[in-house]
Amino acid sequence: MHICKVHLGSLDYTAYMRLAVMGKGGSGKSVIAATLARLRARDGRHVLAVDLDVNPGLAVSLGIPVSDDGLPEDAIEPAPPDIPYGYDIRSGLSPEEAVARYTKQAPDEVRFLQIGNVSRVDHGVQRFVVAIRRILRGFRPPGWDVVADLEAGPTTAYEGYADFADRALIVVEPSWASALAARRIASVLHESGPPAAIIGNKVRTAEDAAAIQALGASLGLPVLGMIPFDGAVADADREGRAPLEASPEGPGMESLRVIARAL
Amino acid sequence: MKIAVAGKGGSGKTTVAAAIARALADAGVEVIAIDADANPNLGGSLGLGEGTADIASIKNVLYEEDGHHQQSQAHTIEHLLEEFGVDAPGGVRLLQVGTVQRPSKGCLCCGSHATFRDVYERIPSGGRRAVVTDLEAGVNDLLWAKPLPEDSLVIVVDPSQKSLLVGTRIAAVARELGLRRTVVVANRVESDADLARAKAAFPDLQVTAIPDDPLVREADRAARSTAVSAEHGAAMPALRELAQRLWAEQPALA
Repeated sequence: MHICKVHLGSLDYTAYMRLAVMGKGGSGKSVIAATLARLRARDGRHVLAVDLDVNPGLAVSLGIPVSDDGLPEDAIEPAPPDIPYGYDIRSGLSPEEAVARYTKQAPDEVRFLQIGNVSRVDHGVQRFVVAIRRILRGFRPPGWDVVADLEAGPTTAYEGYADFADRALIVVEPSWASALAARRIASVLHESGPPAAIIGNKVRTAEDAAAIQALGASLGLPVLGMIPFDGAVADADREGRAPLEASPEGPGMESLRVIARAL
Repeated sequence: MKIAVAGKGGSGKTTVAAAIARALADAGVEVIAIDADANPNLGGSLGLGEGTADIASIKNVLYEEDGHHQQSQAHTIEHLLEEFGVDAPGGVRLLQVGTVQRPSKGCLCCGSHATFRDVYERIPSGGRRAVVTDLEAGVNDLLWAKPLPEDSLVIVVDPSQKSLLVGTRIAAVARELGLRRTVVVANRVESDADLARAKAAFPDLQVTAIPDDPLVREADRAARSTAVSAEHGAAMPALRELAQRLWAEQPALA
């Protein structure tokens, strides 16, 4: 491990990584967020991985069973009307305490936090979203990385979900709709949000890669990596397994290792 | 009749919604397609090409006027259709609800969602008219739209476990809403095992298999009409058949 770090030379491994993973639905946000979280943890970081999507996905890619558990009711309380959704984290509950209490253990010692299942007719608005975001913004203990998997599309960018992060990764797969989502997300982040970078995913051909490079150039955003299409990752998704366990040496995971180091 | 198409992001909702809309239009039905997604791209699959990115959205234009979220109700639905509807190839009229434009600390519920509910509720769909709606990913839009029991819901899933999981949550909401017809599209099926998993996830629902089709992927790369450019592939005929079945066997009115 130490040798590895020496070889990485100029990279600063003491720097914190606060990462918002964004993009169109199905582009591969969860696989990328989960794998980066676990790779950073394997490098000796403490990692908090947060699923900011009410449609569960991050747990599967981290390699833990999906559950409906999120923050319990007593972690939130009604908030003044100027707070969106009308609820906030319970006063007196620190982000560190919330993480200690309400996260689950995922492989490689990653701590996992999610909104929980709010997909019920009687659940009304997403009461837990504001509280989870408050935890994300406030949780900054030394030695910890934070990776959040954001809900698909440009809405979360618009609502400021990435404001906890110091970098946003916009995941793009080779489709016109995915590129359109990236454009919309990038334009909102450009006005108000952390610096963004593009990651190409499920890249099958040289034309796919060129199209994603051109998208990055036209948006003025760096392209951090190009993850090839990997049938083994797709199979892991079918089986509901973490790709890092199902196909640790495949081309998909290999390119994510390179990206994790570059971050 | 009203048909809403729901599913996890990336499962193929937009492709399925566009194919159903086009198939019904080809059969002589008057079709209105509503794009309720905050990342609207239904126009792309309907054949409106790159110009889809510039289509005016009801919510965005009305908000420019006075920022009030009940705005859409001040207009008749015919006016909204005329003002904001765009003619897509094949005779489908496309209506786009809204996208994000500027950053805001607020929430979107009061904007896009309220506008969508209002439009969805008021749009007449009797006789030979079909309203085909491409919902935002997940269950949120369904909770907002609150379709009526006689409306049809198409849940699109791909072979991933995550997609099946989101699909089953949507099915649970559909049951709570009392929808009388919910069907499942198992999209991008590559094997019997893929279809078997989808059937096992929805034991009480009719599951239609749509084979994985490289022509659809090709069309998606460049905002081309899937119905046209993937016409001779494996997926489109199966979706046309589904559309015809949905039209021929409509649930009775409550």
